[in-house]
Amino acid sequence: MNFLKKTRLLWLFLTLALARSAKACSVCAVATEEARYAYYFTTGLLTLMPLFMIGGIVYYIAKKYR
Amino acid sequence: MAEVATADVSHDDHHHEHEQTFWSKYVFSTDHKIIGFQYLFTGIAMAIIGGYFAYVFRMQLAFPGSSVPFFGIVSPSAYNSLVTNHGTIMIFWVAMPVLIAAMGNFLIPLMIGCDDMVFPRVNRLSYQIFLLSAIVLIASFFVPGGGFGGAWTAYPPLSALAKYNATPFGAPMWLIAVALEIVAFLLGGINFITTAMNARAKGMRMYDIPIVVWMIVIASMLFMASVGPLVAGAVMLLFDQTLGTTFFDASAGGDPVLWQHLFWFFGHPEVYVVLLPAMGIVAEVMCTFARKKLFGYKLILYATVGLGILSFFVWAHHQFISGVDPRAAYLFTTTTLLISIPVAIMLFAYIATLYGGSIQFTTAMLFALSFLAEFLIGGVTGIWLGSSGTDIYLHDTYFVLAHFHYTFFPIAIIGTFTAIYYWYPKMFGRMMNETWGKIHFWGTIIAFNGIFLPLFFLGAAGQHRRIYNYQNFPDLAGDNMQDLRVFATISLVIMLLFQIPFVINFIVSLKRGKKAGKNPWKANTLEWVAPSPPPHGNFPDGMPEVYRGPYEFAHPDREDDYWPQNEPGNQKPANK
Amino acid sequence: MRYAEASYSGEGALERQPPIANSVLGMILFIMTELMFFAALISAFLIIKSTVGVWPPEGQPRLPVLVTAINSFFLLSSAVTLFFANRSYRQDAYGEKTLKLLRNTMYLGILFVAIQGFEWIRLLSYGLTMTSSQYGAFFYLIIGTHALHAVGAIVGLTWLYKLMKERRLKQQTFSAGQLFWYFVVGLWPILYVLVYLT
Repeated sequence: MNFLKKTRLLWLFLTLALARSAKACSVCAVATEEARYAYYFTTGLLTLMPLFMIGGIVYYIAKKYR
Repeated sequence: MAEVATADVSHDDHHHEHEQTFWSKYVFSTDHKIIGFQYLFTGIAMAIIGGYFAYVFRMQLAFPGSSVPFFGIVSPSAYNSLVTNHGTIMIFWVAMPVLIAAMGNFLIPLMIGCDDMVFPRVNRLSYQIFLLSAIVLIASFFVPGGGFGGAWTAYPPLSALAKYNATPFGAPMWLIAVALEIVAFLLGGINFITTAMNARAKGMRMYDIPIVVWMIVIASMLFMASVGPLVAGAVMLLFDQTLGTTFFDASAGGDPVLWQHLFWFFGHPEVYVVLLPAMGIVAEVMCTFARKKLFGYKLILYATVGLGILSFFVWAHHQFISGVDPRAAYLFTTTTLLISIPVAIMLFAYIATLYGGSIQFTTAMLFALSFLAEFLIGGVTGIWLGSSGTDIYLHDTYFVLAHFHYTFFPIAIIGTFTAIYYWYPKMFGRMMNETWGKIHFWGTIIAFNGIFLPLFFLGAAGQHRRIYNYQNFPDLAGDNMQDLRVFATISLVIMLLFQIPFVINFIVSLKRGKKAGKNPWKANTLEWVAPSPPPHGNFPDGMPEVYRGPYEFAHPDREDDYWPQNEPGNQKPANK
Repeated sequence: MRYAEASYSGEGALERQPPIANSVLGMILFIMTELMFFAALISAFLIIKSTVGVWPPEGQPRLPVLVTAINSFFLLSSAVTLFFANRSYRQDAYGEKTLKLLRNTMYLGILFVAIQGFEWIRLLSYGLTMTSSQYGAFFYLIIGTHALHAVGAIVGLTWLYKLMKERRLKQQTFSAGQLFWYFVVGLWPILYVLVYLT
């Protein structure tokens, strides 16, 4: 039991790895591989831009207030 | 400093009384209160239209093929137009105008102790654009082909090609109406944020601002940051519809999923845009009628900021089965489940506010309490939908519909009623009738649950959305299921009938309600310092100065159980 | 109005000036929204470009990279003249130098839009239209949206010029107008690189 506890992280990763290979969805894909990366990149871009912009303004105002 | 030294011609016009005609006072006014009323009444009118559409299509679902009283026979394409425009109207022309534009416009300058918004003419322009957008939308119902029928989510190719949606004029008009509405709210949002940040009363620090003002400000920021992609997508869709471009046409190098990518980037933060003002309104009402300080003001504020940040990370949970990379589902499921935490924190803080309070069950308070209960149901049912595994089964069923009505209805309808019952004395100088208010409350809430509770079961049993007649599907046409549909429809009719007392109460109280003083609810925030109704310029006895936080109820140093923000007194440190 | 200006100290007003003046804050918020709008257009562009694969598609006219590069120089110079106009404004708000620099900004902006328009007409005659390909569609969509914003910004500058001539242009209004111009100019290199050079 102690061995299992000590190596629990390893088991976690193994489980995740196995779970990943079980995914064999033949229709789950965007048109091309490049499009997939374009979706990831633009997801990141659209998500992070507002956070940085608003965060920047808030930071600037906070600094000026001091 | 250049701005003080330069002569400014534009702001002399309020230093003296000026003759105001009916038109300049009520139609072309730049006064934030009048503009707030304009939004409120337009929103209520649109709610009647949206509610009427719901009545018609629910009658069709309950009694398929029969002629619906006050409408006629509902054809399949008419059904599509009805559900599309019901959704669109309720989100864009009811929830947002009433909760953000009407309440924000009316309350923000009053609550922060200021005489008007910082950009009053932009404010007036925003309403004019909004009114135009409502007119365009309503006009779309009367053009050949009728109103747009591609669902409020407007997925292409259905929404892009008239050969699929059969509404060649309605579809572009719908897009233009939505685009105009978005512009109106951008202008409004700029006003709210700048006013709240820059024009506060002397002594009002960041944490002395009433929570509803913060909520509207944060909601405006969320809206402004998230709506750009929708406008971009809408422009592209409009071009696909009218110019023959192929942005979303897979056969010509386009991608329909691109529309979803852009739409839901906006669509998800949008629900928080409408949620936050409603939560703010409920908080104000609960503090006043529990005679207790808001529990965890800063906690709520930071949770809201966290919610806002997270809301940009969850949007693909609307797209779990549209063919996106399933590994993306890992991320979006996790973030979706995480986002329930800030909302739960806020709800728990509200419950903690009530704990130990001295609760007064006025109509406004009843609605505020029911918000908590109903929204809770809506929120927890979202967990199943946010998890990609269960969503694969539940997507596009009535389970989703019941979930979002259990969240949206508290936000848009219960939130609106809470606000109206609470601030009506301030807005119109009269009290509404409490007995009729309570009748309205119980009729609305019980009937509301009667509509949507059955829909959870129908959805779990496999009933898909946006189908005009379930008799065509043997699995879904059974008596049990049809009985639930009829039950839901009858509940809807009852609920609509119970709105009649509200309308009568509203109108009659304008003239025959008991006169309200400045502060009938004995609340602390600055809007209760102004006369009821507030005149042009808001505070005729001089601008208030703030000495403490907005929720100092039952303070040990006071005889009264409330301590208005603008009353000097023992200078105790405010809201900690 | 008097009070909501928040620029008066004295009875009832804020104890100190807000960190960012009203008009400037309002313009910053507006520009943030516009940036998201353009980010979405660029996102759509990147996604469709990678979906289509061969870019530019065969048979489509090539874009006038060199002419537009020179044109970009005009636009960027207009930002420089506007910057100096602001400096001049701080010294002598309504002097001839300030007016001249603002005028030059406007002229450079108009020149930019005019040359773009001319190039567009040529491209249309060569067969690059919104419906000829995704390439054409995105070109007109993105560059056209930018052009619309440039035209709007020129109208804004004209308004500022009018106020300046009437000797009633406040610093915060001028700053707000400048911000929008810098936004339009600053956005252009990104669009140029993405749309013309790839």
